[in-house]
Amino acid sequence: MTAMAPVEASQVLVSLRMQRAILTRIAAELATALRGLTVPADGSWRSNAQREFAHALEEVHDLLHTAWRAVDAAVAEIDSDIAAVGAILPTAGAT
Amino acid sequence: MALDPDDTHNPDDPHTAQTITISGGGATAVATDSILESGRALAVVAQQAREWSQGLESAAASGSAAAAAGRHHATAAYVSSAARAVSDAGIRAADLRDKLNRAAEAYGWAERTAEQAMEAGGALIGYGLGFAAPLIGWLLLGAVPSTAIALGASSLITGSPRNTVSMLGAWALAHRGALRNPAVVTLVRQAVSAADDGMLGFAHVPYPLARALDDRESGVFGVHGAASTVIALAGPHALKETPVVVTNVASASAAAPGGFYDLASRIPPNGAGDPQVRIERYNTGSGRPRWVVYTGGTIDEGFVAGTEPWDDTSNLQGVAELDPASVRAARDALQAAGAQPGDAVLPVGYSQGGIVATDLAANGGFQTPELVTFGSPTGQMDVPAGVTNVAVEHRDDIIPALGGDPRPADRGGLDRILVQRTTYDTPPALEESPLEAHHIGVYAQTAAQMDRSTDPRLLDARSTLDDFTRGAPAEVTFWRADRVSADPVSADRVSAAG
Repeated sequence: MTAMAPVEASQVLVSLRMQRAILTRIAAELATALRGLTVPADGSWRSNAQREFAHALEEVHDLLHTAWRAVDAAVAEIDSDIAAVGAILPTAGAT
Repeated sequence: MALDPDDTHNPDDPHTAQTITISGGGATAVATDSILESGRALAVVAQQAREWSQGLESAAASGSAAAAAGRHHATAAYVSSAARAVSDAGIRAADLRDKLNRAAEAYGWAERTAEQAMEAGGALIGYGLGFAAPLIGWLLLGAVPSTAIALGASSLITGSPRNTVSMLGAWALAHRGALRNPAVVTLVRQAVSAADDGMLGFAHVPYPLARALDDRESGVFGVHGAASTVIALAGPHALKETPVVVTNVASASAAAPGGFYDLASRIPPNGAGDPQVRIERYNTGSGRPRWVVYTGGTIDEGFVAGTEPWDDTSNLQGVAELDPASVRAARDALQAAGAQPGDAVLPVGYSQGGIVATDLAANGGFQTPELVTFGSPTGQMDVPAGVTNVAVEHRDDIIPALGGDPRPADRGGLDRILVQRTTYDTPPALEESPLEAHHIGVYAQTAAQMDRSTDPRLLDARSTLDDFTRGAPAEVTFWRADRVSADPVSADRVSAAG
């Protein structure tokens, strides 16, 4: 970790919290979108076109899930950064 | 770490082979509810993907101070990975949404074209059969000797002609489940629709004139004309109307219906001697009260009127758009409950009750914002423009098919919201009752799916219901109607026993 002065640490903390707020909102919206994209079970499909549609829908679903996992991991990283930077400040909270 | 959204996915949700299909209501596309729902979800993803991309860019920029301080090693990589996935998902979702919309439009077009072709074909065949009826009669007469020979020959196997006929009857009974085949239901619908063409052909009305009088073109003759003719030819007693008397038999209170399931569940059951009409009065705080009226299906299946107004006489009189006893009974019950001409009335009906509900909407003299029917043969009944007509029909239920094909909106018909569902996954046993899909309980299951649907047409229809009752508690009355002796119809009266 790079050594930081309290003033600099305070600025970093503000920027981390702002970043966290944006990413948390996006994670929530991605989760809602994922719940809306129901990939039908195989048993209900009767034609190649329907199977292809289900497959394409699954791809979109997987991409969104990948995005959600990445955003969630980014938020976890930021949380750990906030805790570390907060520790530098004499009175600042960790989150 | 947040809860993975995939862990909350419910595999038992209603996206099965029995999902509802919604058509009409101003839209030209036709698709199952689950497909439409996927289409709407894809549209949301395509739209939101741009916002997410911008948000992720903004998050990356916000993290620049932390990055400069060396505290941002993995976060930037995660944000960058999310941005790539979101961008890809947005492009694919937009592409899939466009393809889905085109497919639904094409399916709707194909379905309408097929329907029109079947209608035209059915009409021509009906006209031809009617025109050639005398010749067909002679041919059938000519076939009598060969039929007798076949009967005689088969009797060598079965023992006697009576046994052969009895076995044929048993075979038909054992295979009655075939009437639930959606293809058979469609054929019956076409046959009913062509009944008027057959009559016009039999009367040797020139074909162009017959087409001009046809239900699907002008609605001048149609199935209601054919039904009127049957009533006129049925003799002095069969299918003839009588006066009715209505009695208030019970009162209760209830919460406002929350959706289609509640509407279906509140329809009175078809029990002999039970009340056939349920009326809910809503005092919404301003002006006149509002009314929701529910009526159920046929109770007496006789063709000569007895004491039960919910009978086949009312069925045929209703399809003929005359003045059936069941409709008069519901009108009288509303009046006795306190409804006045011009009041807001929302009719709900199941089976024959749908005929009653549709007649109330068209001719009751009330203001009707919405009409909801379950399994009703009302395809060719006129409904005023401005009334949202939600018609629920199972594809394997033969009863709605008996009303014939609805006249399309572009030829004077109402653009009703048609909700359809096949009630089985695998074909039912042939010995199963052909009316299995007609039960109100099965329609209530479909209504529950409609409540879960996010289709905008169904959402609007539910919203109309909510606006109508405004969530006020209902004062409920139950009404029993009985036919009285065949005096003039003007002798209809009301008694208030409770």
